[in-house]
Amino acid sequence: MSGRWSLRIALAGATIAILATGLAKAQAPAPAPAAGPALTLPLKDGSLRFMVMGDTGTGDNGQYETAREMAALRQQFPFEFVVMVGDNIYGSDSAADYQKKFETPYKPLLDAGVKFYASLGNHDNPNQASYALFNMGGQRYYTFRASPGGVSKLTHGGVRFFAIDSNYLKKDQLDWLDKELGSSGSDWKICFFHHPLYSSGKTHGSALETRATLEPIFMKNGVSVVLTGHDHIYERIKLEQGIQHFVIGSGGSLRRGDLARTDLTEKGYDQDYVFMLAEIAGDEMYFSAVNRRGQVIDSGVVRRSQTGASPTP
Amino acid sequence: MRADDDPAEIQRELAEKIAKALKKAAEAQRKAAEKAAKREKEAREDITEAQQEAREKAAKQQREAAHRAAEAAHDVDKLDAQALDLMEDAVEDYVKKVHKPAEKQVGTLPDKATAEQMDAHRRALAQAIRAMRPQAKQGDLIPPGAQPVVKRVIAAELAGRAGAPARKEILSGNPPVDPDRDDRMSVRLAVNADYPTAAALSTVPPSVLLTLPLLRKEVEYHFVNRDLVLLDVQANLILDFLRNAAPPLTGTATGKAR
Repeated sequence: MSGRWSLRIALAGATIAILATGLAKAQAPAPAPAAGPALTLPLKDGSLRFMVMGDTGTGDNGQYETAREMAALRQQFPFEFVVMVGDNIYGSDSAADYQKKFETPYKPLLDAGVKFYASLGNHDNPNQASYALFNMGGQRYYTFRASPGGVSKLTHGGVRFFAIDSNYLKKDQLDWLDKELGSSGSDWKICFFHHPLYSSGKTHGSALETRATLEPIFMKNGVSVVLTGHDHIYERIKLEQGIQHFVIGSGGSLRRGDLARTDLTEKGYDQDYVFMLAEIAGDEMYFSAVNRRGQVIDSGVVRRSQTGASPTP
Repeated sequence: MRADDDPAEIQRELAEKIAKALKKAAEAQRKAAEKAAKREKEAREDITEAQQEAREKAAKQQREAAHRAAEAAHDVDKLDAQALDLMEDAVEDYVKKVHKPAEKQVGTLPDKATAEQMDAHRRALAQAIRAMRPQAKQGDLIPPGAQPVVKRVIAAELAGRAGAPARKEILSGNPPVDPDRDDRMSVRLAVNADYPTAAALSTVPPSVLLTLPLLRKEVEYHFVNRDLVLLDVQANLILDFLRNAAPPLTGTATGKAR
């Protein structure tokens, strides 16, 4: 643990993790395992548990090590599915690439029956929409409903996810999104896609045109949470227009030092690979962002009443 | 803070710009639906090949007459719209006469495919398309008459302070000029060539996408540096391209929108 220290404070079902990291080297060796994960997600009865990862498909050691941590943490936090915020397969995408950059690193999760729901990044061939293991049903944008207790349990309320193709926002996709969000009776409406509407990443930053296009639709239709990637960092944005935005773009590709903290940043981290675990129970979404060593680098609760999500009639 | 740097002002301008683009796209959608309905009606009619040829000839004459009338009246807007109509029709023809028959020949990719199936399907489809249009050349789908109009449309959306976010977004995933230096690579543009699977696809900023001619879903716009590429996305095949379709993309940062 030289050069690193962490302090965790338990607070009413959530953990605030304060983590300071020593100067990172450009090509840091594989990290030693952390002392032990300190997840404090509540694991409430009947809650919906899922994982979020982005910019994963490199096939590099970093992706593999992070994938191992995901599988290890699932022993403690049995999430049912994974949401992918794009750049699922970098570079060439032959059958061997799908194996190297997706099927092999996530084999323990796939074997355990965990379903992956992908959205497309700018590095992804649009044909990925037909790849069975990405569960996109041949569609570049789609929606699925996940209710507490299981993806297939369609009870009242619940959580609905909307995968958007932010590379190519044609009018028909925008019409579809507005219609689907507007007609959804789900308590939670969560959108996931690649380009962050808000980001303090130095490389890309906020996608302002995309924001001007999508944000009015989100606000009109009571979206609570937006999950994105693209910048290879982790950032939790301060509540913007009543919506909680996350940038989770370092699941397999990391850009150390790329976070330029701005007035947008509630919490940010750019020193290691990160994925996020989330649990929705009633009006609360608990989240823990975890790095490849299993250290919790951010956690908290999003309360639906605090977001702009208005109860559906 | 100077008015130029006021984030709220920049966001207001952007919102106006997107609203205008959406309005334009809605109109294009309406026109496309009308055209599609007409095509469908014609397809249901039991006519001979000769009758079909006569119909196409009459439509061409009608288009030419409308073009002469617009020229005589110096109606620039109408001339631009006609030029872009030609491009839409060329893409429509491609989808109907090449893509669809090629897809029929190689079969449809299942919604739940394996990586092997996807790879094989893409290659077979590209091969079939190439075989069906061996003489394809630059300018077939973006006809010469439409080219300056397309350039003007793109330039208008990328211009000035309100265009700065679009100029930035167009760089994202744009293989030779991606802001992420690790992702940069060169792409050689040639009609009927595969778009390299290792290269990213540029983001097309919503304002640009919503104002360019509405294309069928089989064909997409992307940028390679400043060049506009028409791509058959299922076949990953370059169908046509327009050099320097976008103005220079450097010097993009103006304003301080968050």
